[in-house]
Amino acid sequence: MTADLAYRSLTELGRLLDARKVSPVEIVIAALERIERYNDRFASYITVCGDAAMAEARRAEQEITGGRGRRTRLHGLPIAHKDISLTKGVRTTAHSRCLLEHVPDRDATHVRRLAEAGMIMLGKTNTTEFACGTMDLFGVARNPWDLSRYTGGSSAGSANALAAGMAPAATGSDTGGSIRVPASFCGIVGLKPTYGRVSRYGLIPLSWSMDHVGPMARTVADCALLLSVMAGHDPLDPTSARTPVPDFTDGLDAGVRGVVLGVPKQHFYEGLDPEVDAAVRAALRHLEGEGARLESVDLPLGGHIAGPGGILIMAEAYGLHAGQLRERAADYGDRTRRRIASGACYTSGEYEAAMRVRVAWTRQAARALERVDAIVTPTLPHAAFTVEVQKAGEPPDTSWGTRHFNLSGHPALTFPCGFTAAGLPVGMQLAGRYFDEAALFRIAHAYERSTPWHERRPALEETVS
Amino acid sequence: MSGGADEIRAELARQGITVTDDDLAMITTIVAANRAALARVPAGAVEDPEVSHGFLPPAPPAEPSAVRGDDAATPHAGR
Repeated sequence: MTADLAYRSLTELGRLLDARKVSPVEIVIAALERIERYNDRFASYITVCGDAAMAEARRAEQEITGGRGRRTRLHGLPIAHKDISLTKGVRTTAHSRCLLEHVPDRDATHVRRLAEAGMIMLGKTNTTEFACGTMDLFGVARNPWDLSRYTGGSSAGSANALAAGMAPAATGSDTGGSIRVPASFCGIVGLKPTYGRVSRYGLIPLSWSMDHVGPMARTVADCALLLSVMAGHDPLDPTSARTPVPDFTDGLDAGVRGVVLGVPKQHFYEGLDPEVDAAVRAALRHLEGEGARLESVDLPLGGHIAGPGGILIMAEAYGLHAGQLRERAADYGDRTRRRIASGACYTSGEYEAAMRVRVAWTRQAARALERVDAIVTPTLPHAAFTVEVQKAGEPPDTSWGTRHFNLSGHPALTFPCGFTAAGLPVGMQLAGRYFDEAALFRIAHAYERSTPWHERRPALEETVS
Repeated sequence: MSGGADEIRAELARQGITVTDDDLAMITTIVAANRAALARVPAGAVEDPEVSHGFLPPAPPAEPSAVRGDDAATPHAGR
């Protein structure tokens, strides 16, 4: 029974709960058994909350079987939280030696909202140090599709736990692509919402103007379900928007007939690995076949975002970490310390010039999105590279196609659109209008329901000795 | 800042951050790469900022104008 549950979606598990064909306890046991079996190999979780999860599951079972049924569509379902979200009474390390003994006295708002909806926390997932460095203390999260490959960062453990069936849902944070990159490398779905859509209260910050919190799951519908609960104004986060929150699962089946997809002329389709290029172009043709119309969009700044983005993120990160860097520099991993310290070295003129590029890019993207419903790009120009490449010097720029929408604040979703000959997932990114995550879900769901990629599973037994 | 390693080390030291030679090498590389990328942004692609105050400081004159001594001493005085 339990093995059969490992790869069920949240939506399917919810139906099984409603039909009383399975209990929350069985679902949690299934996930914990997978964690027990695979976590050492994949380094998905930094902290596993086995006893607490079982207690929560038993409580949920009593509530559900006590005649009241499930109080929400997420009630009785498990979730994993990135270890950068504060969790009351549960150690939150951000994978840093500086926070090894850090046990928060409060939950991050998104953690609290999901718990109030009845979700059961399985544990805290691996991340790069402070969401921008390496994974030295708790191990490097490995890719379930190929153990020698990297998961991408920084929401690495959330992505590989989903791909390995160690959780049916997870949360992540995204400052330059940290949800979308590991989601793409691991063949799952991840959304960076509009800036302001989800409260960042209780998220250990990296860059106040570019940090986002979002859902990760194995299906588009599950991400939509999670966002419906995570989103909404939070008085504790002054940057959270007062925009109404729809039920993002409404209209998912509306299809893409008449939808206009913008294909950038510059940057995003240049220099792609041939297999990524083939997979993404096949996906574009597929969406055309489903009724979407493709239109070229002009984004001349698309190839000029890396420098300004790097300056702004690291300047903000340095602002947050300067005091601790002075006092505890040796407690930072080498790459983390160096990247954050680089933020101290730019002049105000350079910061201002980078901000001008940010404003100009944001206008370009917004103008394009006046004509099209979504901009469609590869999430990355290549599939997952090896852990050795990641460890050596400066690895490839994984934010190549994602940081653009952290700078502009537009919502952006990645979903699997194929595999390389070596069996590595390829991701496609959709970026949409502000607060129109619903359009991204609808387009991606139309693709997903008519393609097999989300049903493919890694051969984990071959990776476990 | 020109961005040389010595200058970066001095700036970090001024801000109370001590770095090793290896730290400095990587920081210098990162900063140089981002500066170079920023410099490659096409000049025409970035517009002048819109200032909601409805006023921008005038461009400097081609030739320095004569400034009376009392004006120079009180630069906010009424212009």
